[in-house]
Amino acid sequence: MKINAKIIIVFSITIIILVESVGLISFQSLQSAVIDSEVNHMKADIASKADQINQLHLKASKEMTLAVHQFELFPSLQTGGSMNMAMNMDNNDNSSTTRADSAPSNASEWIKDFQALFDVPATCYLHSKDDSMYQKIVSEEKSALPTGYGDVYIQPPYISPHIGVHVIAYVAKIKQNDTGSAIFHCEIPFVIFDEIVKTKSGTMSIVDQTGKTIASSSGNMKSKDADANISILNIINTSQNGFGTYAKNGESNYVVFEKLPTFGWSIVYEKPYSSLLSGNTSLNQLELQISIVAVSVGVAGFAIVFLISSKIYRPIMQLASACRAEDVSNLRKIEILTNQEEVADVANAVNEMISKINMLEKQREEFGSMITHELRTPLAPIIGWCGNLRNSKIMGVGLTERQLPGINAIERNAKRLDQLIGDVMEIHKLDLHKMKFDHHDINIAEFMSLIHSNLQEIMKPKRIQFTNSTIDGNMVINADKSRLEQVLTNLILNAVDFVSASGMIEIGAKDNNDGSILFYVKDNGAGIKKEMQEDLFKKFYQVDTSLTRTHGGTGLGLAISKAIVEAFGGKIWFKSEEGNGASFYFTITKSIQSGENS
Amino acid sequence: MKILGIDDNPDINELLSVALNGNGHEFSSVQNGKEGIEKIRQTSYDVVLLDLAMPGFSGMDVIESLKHEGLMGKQKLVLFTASSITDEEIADLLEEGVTAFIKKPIDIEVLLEKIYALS
Repeated sequence: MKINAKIIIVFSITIIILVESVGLISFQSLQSAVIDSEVNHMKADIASKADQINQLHLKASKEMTLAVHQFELFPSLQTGGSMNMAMNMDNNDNSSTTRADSAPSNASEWIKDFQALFDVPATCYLHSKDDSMYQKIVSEEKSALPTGYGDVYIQPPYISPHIGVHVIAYVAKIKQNDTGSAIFHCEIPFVIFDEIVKTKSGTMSIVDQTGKTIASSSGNMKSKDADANISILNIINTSQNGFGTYAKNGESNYVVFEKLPTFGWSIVYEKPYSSLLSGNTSLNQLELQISIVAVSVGVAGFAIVFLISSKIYRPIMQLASACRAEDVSNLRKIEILTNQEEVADVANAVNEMISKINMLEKQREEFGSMITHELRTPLAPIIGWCGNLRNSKIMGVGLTERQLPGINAIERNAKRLDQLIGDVMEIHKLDLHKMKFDHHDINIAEFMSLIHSNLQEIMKPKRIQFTNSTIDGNMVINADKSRLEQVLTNLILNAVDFVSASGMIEIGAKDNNDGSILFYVKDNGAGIKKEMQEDLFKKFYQVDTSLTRTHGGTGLGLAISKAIVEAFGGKIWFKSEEGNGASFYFTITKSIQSGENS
Repeated sequence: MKILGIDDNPDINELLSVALNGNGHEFSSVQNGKEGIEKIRQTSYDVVLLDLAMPGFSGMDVIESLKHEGLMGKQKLVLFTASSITDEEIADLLEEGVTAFIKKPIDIEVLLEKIYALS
């Protein structure tokens, strides 16, 4: 997976980030569009509220004008000289309380009817020219009071002396009989504005020029803190488009406002940023959808890149594993199914190389068997003739004492050369995995005791104590008996070389209980020098070169043993301390599958 | 005994000639398989000593021809083999009608013993 995985992961993450950012950018523009539309909604809301207030004023003014005409038309309503009368009408219970000091019943009834026209709890009074309220209003509002009869003046807020709450008032002058003018005066409490600014979400309020709250949808006029009031007032005074934001509790508060035509009031609608969005479920869904799309595209990208790259990468991996084949003598051409030209090119190049290697291996093999055969051929008559020459019957005459050692030396060295050639041939075959094996079931205990008895003779000259410590009689392996014997004998003969006279050699085998048998050859000889241990299994390596002369070793014994053991699926190793003997171990798997050592 | 040697190496033939004739046998030799077959057709031998590894017409080719001509049982056949011959191959050759094997390089004492055993 190596690079492949990295590329895929990086690619997929890139896709996810890309899709996510594209999504977020569009999400953000969508978000601002949503906010814009929300702000527009808010503007529309306050526009309609402002309209309601204007309608209220308009209706009140109209009613007042009508009332003035009534007074003009029916002078009976203005009975007596100065009069001061007021009716408070409660919309809910329709009960009425006469607040006038001395109101004629007909006038009171009329005012009561008139109040009903307002749709709101209005309190109406008729002040004659000489009553104190007339004086007060005229003196305070002198310049603003309407001059013509029937004109209506809207009086700014004040606390009603009659009902003790904030009110605004509609004022109209009327002409009284001959006594001069009077004022018709209707008070409407602020509660009416609380009703108007009621809203489902956010806070709507009416503020005056100083930022003071006249009415609020929250119903609690004092809920706003002073800072918020200043911020809102600032927005109203500076904003050109009826919109602004200010920070509140660490969040942006969106404010839209509209100035009302009366008293310098403004109607203000505010909502926190989060509530603008949270109300929009489709936007939340969209955000989720963008994430889902991003992850899906990422996963799909991962899959696509994985497929594509594995299409390229798998053949390369195949190539790599094919090139790693340990058995150089048996390289097969790599078959790679790919339509990737580059990979196919590499595969072809590797296949060409494999062909060359195979050819070279074949040549090496042929050369090896040819050279060993050719080297051996002349040895046959040499060795044979030594036998002839020593044989007095054949020759008719025996060798002299001086001739005999010469013939023996010729024969001994020729035989050694022959054995050397044989060993080289053997290791050559093992190296090329061309060694043929003849596997049969072998009873290990019987086999060990056979080896033990066969080699007794060899132990005699050095009077070596040779023991076989194999106990288990049930061990059976399927292996080439003569090769196994070759390994064991080789190790034992090595031990014989290394033990001193009357030394000890112990051989044995035991079940490893892991599907293999462990064989060992232990001696109490000179041991192996540390610096020599590493090279012990190398070809032509001899611990003591003088031994070749006495025992005819070729230096290939351990290398051959190792190759055979490994061909049998086993391992060979040793433990030795200089001066403390050496123990050689090897394992053989109980059942060797292959007939050849490949 | 009347013995024929078939070996491409004249030194081996000379060696065998000295050893066998010196031991009272009647030994003659040829240097290739085809001549050997010709000799076997014409003459009756007690034993034929055949080298397995000969260039061109090999020992195995000789055996095939003898089998083909029904001459395998006519005489005892002793093969000179390389020491690398396997037990399986030996078993196969015994099946084919080969009488005995002598591994090269030839040990004269072993050779004489084997020939003696065949008489």
